[in-house]
Amino acid sequence: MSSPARVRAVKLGALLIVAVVALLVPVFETDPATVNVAVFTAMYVGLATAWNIMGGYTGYVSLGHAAFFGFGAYAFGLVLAHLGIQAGYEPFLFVPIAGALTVVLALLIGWIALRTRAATFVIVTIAMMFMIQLLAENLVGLTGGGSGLSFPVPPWSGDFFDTPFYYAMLLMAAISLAISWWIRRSKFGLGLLAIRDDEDKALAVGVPAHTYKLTAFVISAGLVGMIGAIYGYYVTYIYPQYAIDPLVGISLVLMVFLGGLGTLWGPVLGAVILEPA
Amino acid sequence: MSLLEVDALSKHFGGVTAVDGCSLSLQLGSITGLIGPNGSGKTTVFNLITGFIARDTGDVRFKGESITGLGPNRIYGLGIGRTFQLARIFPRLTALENMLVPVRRSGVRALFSRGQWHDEKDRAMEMLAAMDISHVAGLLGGSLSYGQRKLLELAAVMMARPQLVLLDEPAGGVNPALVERIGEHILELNRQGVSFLLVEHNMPFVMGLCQQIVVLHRGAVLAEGTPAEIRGNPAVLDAYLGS
Ligand SMILES: Nc1ncnc2c1ncn2[C@@H]1O[C@H](COP(=O)(O)OP(=O)(O)OP(=O)(O)O)[C@@H](O)[C@H]1O
Ligand SMILES: [Mg+2]
Repeated sequence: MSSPARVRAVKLGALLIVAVVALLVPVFETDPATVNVAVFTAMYVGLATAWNIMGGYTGYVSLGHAAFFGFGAYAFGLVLAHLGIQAGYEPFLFVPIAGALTVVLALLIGWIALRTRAATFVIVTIAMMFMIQLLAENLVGLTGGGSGLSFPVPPWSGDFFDTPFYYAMLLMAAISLAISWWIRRSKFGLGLLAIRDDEDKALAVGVPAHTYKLTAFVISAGLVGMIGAIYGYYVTYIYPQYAIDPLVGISLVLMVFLGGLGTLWGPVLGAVILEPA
Repeated sequence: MSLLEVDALSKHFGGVTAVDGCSLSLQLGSITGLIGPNGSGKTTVFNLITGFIARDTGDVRFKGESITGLGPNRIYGLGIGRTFQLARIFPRLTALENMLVPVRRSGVRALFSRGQWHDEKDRAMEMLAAMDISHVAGLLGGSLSYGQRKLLELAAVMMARPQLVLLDEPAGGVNPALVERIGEHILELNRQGVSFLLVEHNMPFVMGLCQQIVVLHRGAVLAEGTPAEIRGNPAVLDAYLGS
């Protein structure tokens, strides 16, 4: 009879099992190749969830999120180099700085891109991604241009190498999910869903659509930037075509569409199915 | 006291003059009808007042302050609500969620407040009950009948307690029994202090509800007066038959 309470309990139980399994992956699976897949799966769960906050909730499909991913990686590499941070666990503490810098970029890009709607928005996001890629290539003094940017080389070896990165990616995925869940049940989230359904009608009932869209865009980009930062440190060496890869942006869109656009768990499902495949 | 003043408003779309020096004044607590033949500019006047399109010339004042140039969400925030000629609701939100979108939460507070606060929810359910559609609260907007959408749109626009509501054909496309009910709802809300400006082609409906009627013809005000005065005005009849 108390079916809502039971549904809740089942949901919590399932969540707990998923969390425990996710946490134990590196303990039971020591084959580096498998853990490597796990790192990327956790990464895509985070990316798809972050993308969904904008693309799923507001219906504004950005195909250029790879720009924020790559920008986060570059920003992180440059921050580590300038502050002279040594390899090890310490760099992880600076990931939020990469996120903050990505947020600034997203504010600028969003301010312009969000003056357009529908197909035009999609095209603007693609254009700005190639612009960022071009900048990464041409600001040689800053980014190393085509010859790339290297990170401090993580000191861990063999079986253990992937483990810290797996947990870092998992933490980012969990943070993205928590934020997505929070937004979904907030007044702000309801406004985003209203914009997705009918933006003019949303304006007519007082939803400040531009501010809401920009906020969602920036939150989404900031999370993607932080994940990109961890990725950069993981691969220890990035160059423009690799860090700002249009395919990354497209595959996370596919994951969200496959798993369920605008739902909390859809992006997770899509990433888990598509990434190892 | 005049609640809304529209002063010499004009709007051209390319070569089409949609609104041509339209002026009108709404009294606080009134129900005013805005009528006119198809294409006479009624919806455009609504879009101009509510900030959906930019005027060419003229001014709109609400409670004595100019609201010209403000965006639609700001204007709703100031207390002017509107409905659309073809009822517009959020199809993938439930009827209850449709009711909760209009409740204002500004800035950062929107991020930190639940989508469905209990007091808001109670009020939304009361409003739905007042419109006799509480049984659809949990259904998606897209699954409602057109009449239910009309009622939901009217109920939802009231959630932020607007002082003035612009209704674009509230009786359009719904069956006669429902037209009567919608009329009663409007009167009831008016008794509670809400003023209305309503566009409508159903003449008995307008004449029955409004104290004051403004007739628009080719974007300009052709006549203004009580229902009886408008009914006896030969120029109005000409406009309807002639154009
Ligand atoms: N966005 C637009 N672009 C171009 N022309 C427009 C636009 N909106 C309205 N018009 C034109 O402006 C004129 C007035 O249109 P409007 O919709 O305001 O009339 P209306 O009085 O609401 O008519 P109806 O009773 O049929 O709803 C019409 O000639 C219409 O074609
Ligand atoms: Mg119209």
